[in-house]
Amino acid sequence: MIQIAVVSGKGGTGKTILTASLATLLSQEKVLIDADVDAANLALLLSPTDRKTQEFKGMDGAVIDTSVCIGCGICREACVYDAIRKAGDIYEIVPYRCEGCGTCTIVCPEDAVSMAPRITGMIHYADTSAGPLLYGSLTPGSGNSGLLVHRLRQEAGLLHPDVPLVLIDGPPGIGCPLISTITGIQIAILVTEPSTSAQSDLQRLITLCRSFHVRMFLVINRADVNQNITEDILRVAAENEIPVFGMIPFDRTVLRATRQGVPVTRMAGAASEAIRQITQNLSQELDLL
Amino acid sequence: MIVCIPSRGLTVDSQMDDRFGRAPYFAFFDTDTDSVRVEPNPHAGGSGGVGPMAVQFLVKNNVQILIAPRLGGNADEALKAASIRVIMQNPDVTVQTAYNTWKANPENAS
Amino acid sequence: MQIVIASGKGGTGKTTVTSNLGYVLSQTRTITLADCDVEEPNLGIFFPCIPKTHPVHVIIPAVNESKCTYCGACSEFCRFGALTVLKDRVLFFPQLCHSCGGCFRVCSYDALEKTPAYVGEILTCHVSDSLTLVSGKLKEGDVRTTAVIRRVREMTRNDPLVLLDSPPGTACSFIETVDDVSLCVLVTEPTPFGLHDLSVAVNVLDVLNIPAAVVINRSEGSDEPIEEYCTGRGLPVLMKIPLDFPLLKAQNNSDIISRIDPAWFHRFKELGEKILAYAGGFS
Repeated sequence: MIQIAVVSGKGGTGKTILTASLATLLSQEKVLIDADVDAANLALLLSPTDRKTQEFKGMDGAVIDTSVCIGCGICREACVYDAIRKAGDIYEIVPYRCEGCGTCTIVCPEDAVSMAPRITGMIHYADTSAGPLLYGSLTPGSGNSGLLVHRLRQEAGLLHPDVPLVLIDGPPGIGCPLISTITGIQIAILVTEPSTSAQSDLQRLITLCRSFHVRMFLVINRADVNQNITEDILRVAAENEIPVFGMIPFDRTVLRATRQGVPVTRMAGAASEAIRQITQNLSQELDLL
Repeated sequence: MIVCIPSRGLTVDSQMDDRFGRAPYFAFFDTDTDSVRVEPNPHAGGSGGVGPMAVQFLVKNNVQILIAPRLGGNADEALKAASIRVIMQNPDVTVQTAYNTWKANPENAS
Repeated sequence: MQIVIASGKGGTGKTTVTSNLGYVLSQTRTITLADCDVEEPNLGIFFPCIPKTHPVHVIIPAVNESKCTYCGACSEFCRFGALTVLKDRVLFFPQLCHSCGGCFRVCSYDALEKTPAYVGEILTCHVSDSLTLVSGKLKEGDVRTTAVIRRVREMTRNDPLVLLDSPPGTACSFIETVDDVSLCVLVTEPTPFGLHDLSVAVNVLDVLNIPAAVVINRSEGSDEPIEEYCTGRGLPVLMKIPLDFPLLKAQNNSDIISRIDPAWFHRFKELGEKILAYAGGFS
């Protein structure tokens, strides 16, 4: 099973648009995962049919038994996350700040604190014309998105063990959700754009992918908006021996397609053409594996 | 000697799991008798750090050899520290086949 | 007063808004810009200066082998799997540790010592007499994002007016950034993505009880779905930023358009006044 993730460092560079296009164009049987669980958007371009949703339980969280709490405040002193606050004469947990370490349970002299499972999100199972899609959503105020990414990948593996290709729409950033996304994958497609911000993010992303032994390929979106930075990015790619899959020009069709909720490759245009070429380049790489 | 193999299911005919720390089950073979027991991995659904937790579970079960396809960095470090030998094995076989393959050629298993 | 500029979805122009607002507001008052997007801090690009570096450390355990009895209590306690106790040694995995301090408490033999571990740094610089920039920067490959954000917030807590640039997303790092602020301004764009992510962010702010307002970026005039949503949720739309090539170009070249174009200066000044008035109404 080959696992590919489309990642970017900086948000808004066009990951989801590229992923949706690759999903509809690549001929292999595949399963799709939207790992940007903070803001899952891949479904918005693939007109999915939702099959089921399942509760996702993150780490256990602390619960104070109000009938036992004597209001001594020892737990609040011990909590390094500021996740316990006074409520009248006693104390209560601030669920969105609690990381689930359990320290409060061992310091409480009255045994009033215990750990309990909490629902921190949902896993959605959907069908699209490009293959089954798994995506997550977080309960408002919940953290733990790295773990949810992990669960999505695990579910995809269990439900579709024989599918040859897993295509993942990655999260922005380089923190825990990204690390959960790229652990154990073979190929990362780095989508960047010619802006100073995206350029500095790209450097950090490359360092990280390298330490996870992931093969990298580069795509520059809106490449013609700033030719100088595009050339700088190409130089960085060459120095790091990262092959460039292609460059997508600025094209208003992209916005139009996105507003209509379809992959841009459904429409004719320069961006659509470039993405088709990128897909072919990726296909050739996959054939070599 | 106890040999451990991560498993997708409760029987030795199940496919080997391609993960270690998050494998749903572990099969423990006793090489003296070739007997086996399969136990659920208590940390499979944990939120993080499951690699080292699984190693601790193996230590508790006196495992000396682990047959697995790939390991995270933390698990790898913990296995080395615990002196558990790791035999790499491609996971597209059943647990029993993986064990038989190793047993037939314990020194040169790849 | 603490005001967050956030977006839910990445790349909607959050940093464009923050950098312009920071520049414009600093012309008439003292302001601190706090870059809480510690995985990808970009505000510094728009305000070049030589920063002072403050390392950020968290407390982790170090095992004193001469005192440890390998009883396993710390390992049993640690829900993050950061401690593995073998028969003759203890393994510690710093990347898994959340620095909760619980292991020190459960050890009956005083065998764990509190040790600082580097997770990133804070860069501070005085861009001008009235503008200070405080940027958090997470060490590459580290996952302890919230520890760095927490430090940025501690360092700016007592400043009179702070604009915080939020990380994308709506999970842990967003929550750490917006907790207890006076107002969160959400920058969105008129696409289904923008609307979806806006609604997710608004739901989180609801739970945290933080007032929200909206800026629509890359507006092309037909923003009805977003406007309908905002009306329905009682969210004021404070500004619409048109899809404008000079703006895009200035931003990509790390210029601040308000600095070079008086018309844009005026627009962002108006936005700044609206934000301050709106935030002031809640505090």
